[in-house]
Amino acid sequence: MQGENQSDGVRFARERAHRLFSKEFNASTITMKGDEDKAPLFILTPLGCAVNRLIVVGILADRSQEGKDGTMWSASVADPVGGFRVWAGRFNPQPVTVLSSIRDEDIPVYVSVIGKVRTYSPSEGVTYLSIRPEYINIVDRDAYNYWIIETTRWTKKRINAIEDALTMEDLNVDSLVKLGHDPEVARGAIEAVRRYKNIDTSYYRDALFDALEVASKSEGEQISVPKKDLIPPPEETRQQDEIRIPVSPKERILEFIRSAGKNKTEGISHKELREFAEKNGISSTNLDMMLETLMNEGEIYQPTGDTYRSLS
Amino acid sequence: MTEETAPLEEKIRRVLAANGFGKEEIDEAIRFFHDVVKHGTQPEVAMKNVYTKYGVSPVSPQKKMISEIRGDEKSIDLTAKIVRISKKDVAVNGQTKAVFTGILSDGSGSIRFTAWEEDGIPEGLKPGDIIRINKAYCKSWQGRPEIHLGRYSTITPGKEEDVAEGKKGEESLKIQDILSQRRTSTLIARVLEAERGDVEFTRGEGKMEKKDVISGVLVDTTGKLRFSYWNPSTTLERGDLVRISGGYLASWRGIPRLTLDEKDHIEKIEMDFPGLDALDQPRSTTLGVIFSEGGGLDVSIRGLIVELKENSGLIYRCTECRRVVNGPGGRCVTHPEGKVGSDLRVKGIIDDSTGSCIFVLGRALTEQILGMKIEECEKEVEKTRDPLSIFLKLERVMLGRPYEIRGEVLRDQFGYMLIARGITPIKIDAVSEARRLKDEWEREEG
Repeated sequence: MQGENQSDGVRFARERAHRLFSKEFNASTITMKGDEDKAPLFILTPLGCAVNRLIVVGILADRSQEGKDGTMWSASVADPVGGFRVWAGRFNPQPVTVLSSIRDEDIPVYVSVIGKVRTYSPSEGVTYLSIRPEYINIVDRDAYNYWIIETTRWTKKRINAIEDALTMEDLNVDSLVKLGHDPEVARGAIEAVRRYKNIDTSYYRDALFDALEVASKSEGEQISVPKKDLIPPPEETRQQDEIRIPVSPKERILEFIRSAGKNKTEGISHKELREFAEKNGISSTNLDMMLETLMNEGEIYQPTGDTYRSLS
Repeated sequence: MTEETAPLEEKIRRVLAANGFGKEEIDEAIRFFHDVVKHGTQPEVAMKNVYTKYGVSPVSPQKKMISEIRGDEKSIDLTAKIVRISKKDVAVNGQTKAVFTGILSDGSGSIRFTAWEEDGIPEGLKPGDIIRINKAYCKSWQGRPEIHLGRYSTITPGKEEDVAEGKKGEESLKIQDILSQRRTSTLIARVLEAERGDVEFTRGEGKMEKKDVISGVLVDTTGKLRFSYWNPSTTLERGDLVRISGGYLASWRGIPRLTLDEKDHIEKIEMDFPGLDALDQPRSTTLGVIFSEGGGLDVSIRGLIVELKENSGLIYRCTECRRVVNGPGGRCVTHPEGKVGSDLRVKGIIDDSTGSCIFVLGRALTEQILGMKIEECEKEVEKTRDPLSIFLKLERVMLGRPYEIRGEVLRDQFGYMLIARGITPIKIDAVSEARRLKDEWEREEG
């Protein structure tokens, strides 16, 4: 149901990043997924926002390594009304690099998190939502405030549409649009009213005012971490097949040459390296530059013109 | 039987009479109709057989100007000028069929048309011809109306006067109307940019043809519009105020362009109209709006940077052809002997929650973001021995932060791209903004 709004004629429209507070996110109980194997997962929030990707600017309240050998990272990111659980693993190299570079004494710190929705069930009948991050960056109070203001505006639009939809006898998008609501917000609102029972908009209205209260405090005040108990708990870690993730792309290349070339006297071919690089989002230009650097640093050498081995 | 067929008989009489058939012919048609029904054909189908036999369409055509066409009319008449026409062979169910496509214009606007050769389109139609079309039907494609000439349609030569008729009482449109309604009309605008030059064409068998053209940008209080003016009969310069009637809209990579030639009316006028300083402003809008229009010329977007591509930062190019090569020691495929020079750029994704779009910053804007000159970037890469060090720095500066980017949004088959001509970090007074919203919403709740 997403994506189609963006594009006549342009295929593969990228999912835009939604802005929503943790209260709305964590209260979502409806997920939607297409039939295809790789169809993206969406959640439908009680305010009718269909979210696959989202951006959150908040306060990193804690972060810890999880899993047997510490390859997973769990973090809680607080917003003015609660918080998000962030869960990064081996397929999220950039977030792992950033999370592992943050020292204990730096926390709490403002971060922006761009990522996709993920669900997990610690026990039967209990489902939590988390964010699988694509990117994390350390930001500042200004970025936090900007996100709060923007997010209150979008949340307000959704609340208004839901409240109008709740008073309608005959639920339909056109009538909502005629009342002045954005067509996409209207579509979401109709869907939410159909699928959620007893939507309490005052719960989200309160959140709006709480958020504005935080943004209207003057600069320079200490970062306070609110209501940690509103953040979903960390995921139970799975113990299998996790390997240590080298942090920088250069180290990942080196690690690959070391491990995959352990028993190959002729070394790893450039073709294999290109495939590895592609999988890890490293461009071939940068791959070649890194190979050159690694050779200059004496970490690797070329047994033949087209292959690479590590010295150690 | 008669009860069932009587209303249909009445209808056939009406339609045939409207199409100029005489009483005898109509009586003959009714006999044919009853014959067919007697043979067990459904009366409705028999009626259609009659229409086919006499080459008529049951819908009575309406006379239309192009600007009035909405895209769902079943049968219309109009007189228009052919602006463009081309013939193409397409395979339909294994058979090759010729189809003509092109653009028609009248005093009120322009529209695309399609006609199949087998439906009897006259031979030798060329741009500039005035034609009278009867009984064409209309469709809408990607929200844009089109005219289709089917087997019921006829084309006969038309008169210039009939086309000009459309100009009476025609309203003048603003640039924003032209962009959102995708049609042209009379436009009053100022010339923001104008450049005159010759464009060389190859016209079959290596024959070269030169065409004189003025191309540039028009601006009014609602936006900007690119134009090309072929074989201009008047000069146009920056600052001129013009009234334009006619022309048609074409698109290049999603950016609409008003195309004019010597037959269109372009006159310089003098009237009270804002100057260029006041008009030359970007249009503040959202990606959602830009995508619905197909692209945007000089727009301004406020959003968050949600991704930076790894090919951002310090890059190396062939100095001959600007192609990106593999590092400082890399070689260009086409110019292996050529020199390699460094450059800076950013490719990333900006997202304003109504949509997301790739943006590109050139060297000067990248230097501005970094607060570093390219020479300093080269030194940094040398010092850290990490080719990605500038990319990582850009990521730390930009990712997840709000920016306002001004530029042009182009479209290709993969999506949209914003070519930036300016970028500024957004600074808001969050304290007063939050208080203002709180007051507003509290008042709303009463």
